[in-house]
Amino acid sequence: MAQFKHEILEKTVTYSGEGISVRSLEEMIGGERQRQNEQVDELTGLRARNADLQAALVEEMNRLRELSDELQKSRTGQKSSLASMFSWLPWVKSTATTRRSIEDLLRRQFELSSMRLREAADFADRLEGAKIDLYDEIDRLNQRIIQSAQNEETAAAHVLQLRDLKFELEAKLAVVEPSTSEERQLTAELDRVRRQLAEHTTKLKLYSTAEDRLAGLKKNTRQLAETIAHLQSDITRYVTASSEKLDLVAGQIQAIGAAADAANVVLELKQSLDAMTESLNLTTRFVAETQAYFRQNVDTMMDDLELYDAETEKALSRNLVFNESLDDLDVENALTSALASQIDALEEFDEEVTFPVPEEVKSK
Amino acid sequence: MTDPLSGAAIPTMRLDDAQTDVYLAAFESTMRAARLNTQYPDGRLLARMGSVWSSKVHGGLYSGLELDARTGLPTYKEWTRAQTDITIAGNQLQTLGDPAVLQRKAQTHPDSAHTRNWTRYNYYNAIKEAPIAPLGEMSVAVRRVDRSRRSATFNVVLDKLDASGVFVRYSIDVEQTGDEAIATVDKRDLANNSEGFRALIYQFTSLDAEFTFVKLASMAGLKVERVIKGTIGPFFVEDMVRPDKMPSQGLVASFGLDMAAIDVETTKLNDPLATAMNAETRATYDRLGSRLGYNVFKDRKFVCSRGQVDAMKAFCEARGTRNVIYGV
Repeated sequence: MAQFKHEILEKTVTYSGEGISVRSLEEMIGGERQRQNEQVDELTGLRARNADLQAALVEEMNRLRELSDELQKSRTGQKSSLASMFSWLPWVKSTATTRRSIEDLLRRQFELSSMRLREAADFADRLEGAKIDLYDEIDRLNQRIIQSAQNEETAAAHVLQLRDLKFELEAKLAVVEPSTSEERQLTAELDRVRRQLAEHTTKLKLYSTAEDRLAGLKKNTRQLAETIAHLQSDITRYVTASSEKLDLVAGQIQAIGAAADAANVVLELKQSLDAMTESLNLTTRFVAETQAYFRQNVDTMMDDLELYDAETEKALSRNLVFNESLDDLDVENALTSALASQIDALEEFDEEVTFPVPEEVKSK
Repeated sequence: MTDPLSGAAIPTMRLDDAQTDVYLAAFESTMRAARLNTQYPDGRLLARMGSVWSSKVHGGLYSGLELDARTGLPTYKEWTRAQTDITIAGNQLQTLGDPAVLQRKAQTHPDSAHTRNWTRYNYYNAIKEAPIAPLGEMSVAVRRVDRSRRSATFNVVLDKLDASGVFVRYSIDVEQTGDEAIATVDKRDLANNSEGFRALIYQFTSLDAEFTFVKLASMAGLKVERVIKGTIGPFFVEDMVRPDKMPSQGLVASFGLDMAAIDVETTKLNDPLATAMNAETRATYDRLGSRLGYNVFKDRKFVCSRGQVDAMKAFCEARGTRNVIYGV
């Protein structure tokens, strides 16, 4: 027993990473929160960019739809305002003039659409970059979570030994003669055990808190990453589809001027407009969908972050109180909480394991 | 170079990256060698704008270059690509953010969006000040104003990548009396050109200068002095169908000049690539020419490799023309 007691009290418990304290935990969580704020800011910027893109594309699409409708009317002999679009030209009398003017309009529209599409394509790569960064962030948080969990286990194991030693010493003290040298020796040892218990139980709670808070941050980061991934995947799909359509339109626009037959030219134009309208429709539909997605997810996430802040503050406050008034109940609570987490984790993986379960927990 | 694509709206051919870089170098030296005056589209400007297609500049963001198989020049889509990228470069650079961060991320994530964003940053940075050649722009400058006669003389210039696939510059000197057919003149004698006139000239770019002269002269209130159509293209590249007896190898670039003006002394046709007009149309034009007092001059110069200069001279002589041929 003497040897065992000596080993426990003299044992150097090594925790990985930097040491932990209430202040360092506060700083770490604050730093992580700051990083996440920046990520949310970036996402908010992306959302604003998305809104700009939407407004521009809707305007373009409306113009094209109007032109396309008028062309369709003029082709079917209905009264259209196509002529009035060029009515300010005193010499506009023939289909040919109308045709070329439309070619000009089409080109301008195509060039504007190409610009929007290029910006959208670049935007897709920015989103993918942001997604990569967020998954990197998740990796980094996982490393910290694992480290905290390992440290928590180390602390819990040591606290268990100290607690057993404390019980043993208390039992011995109960039967020795008061004021004897043996009683003084046991009391001194018990004080050392209590001191170490206080130190390592604090660490146990801090590492447990760090693990929980980091896991909370990771959850939000994963949500951000999934939002970005969803958006990036969709925009890539739409940009690809729109690019193909615009490629087709570019060839048709250049061919229009060379077409000899006016009827064919108008038909070609109609097809070009339809193709262009379709591509813009795709993009606009996508933008509308993603706007809703952003609204549903980012706003909720930001609310969660606010809530998280409050929870973190509470946890840190609890730690402060705990530091000031450590008692046996806190030790038991800390151990129970740590062991319960281990049990939960093991149930998830459904693996057979063995670990030291204190009698108190078993009896509960 | 691959075969022309089938099923496309216009026949096209695609160059890979290496071929594109060779083509661009030839394009640039050809434009320099052509010594184009202001009656032509600005060839050097086009070459500088086209430099954005170089794989050394875009760093692999794009793949090759699409040429119009009718003219050997880049297609409208490609010119729009260059125009778009140069236009948005400044804004995109700001959006992409700190280059040091982009570079670091690219290094830690090879073959990812971060690599592309870093490449894109370098691309936009390289092209942000590249010039944009007009693909369809018109300017109107006032040459003279006579307020007592309510008349003004304008110099109109329209630059356009024509539907036929060549670059065209239309230069028109015309006197306008009364109405606002072409432009209005403000108190500072600056012209505010009408959109309508732009649309009118826009439609004539595929037609010859003589047609445009006659068409404008027939409009009330206009007196035409000169219509000049300068053309860049076609460029006969490998695999393109060439006129009979033209050297079958190497790049042969052509630059047409078509002029109808009251100060051209006699009609002279010196363009070996011009298509003959049918007799009836020719007779109609001749009558109009006499009445309106203009003559026509058509010319074309060429740029080819030095080794092909003699063969090109023979080609022109065989078609009854004597043309300027620059060797590079």
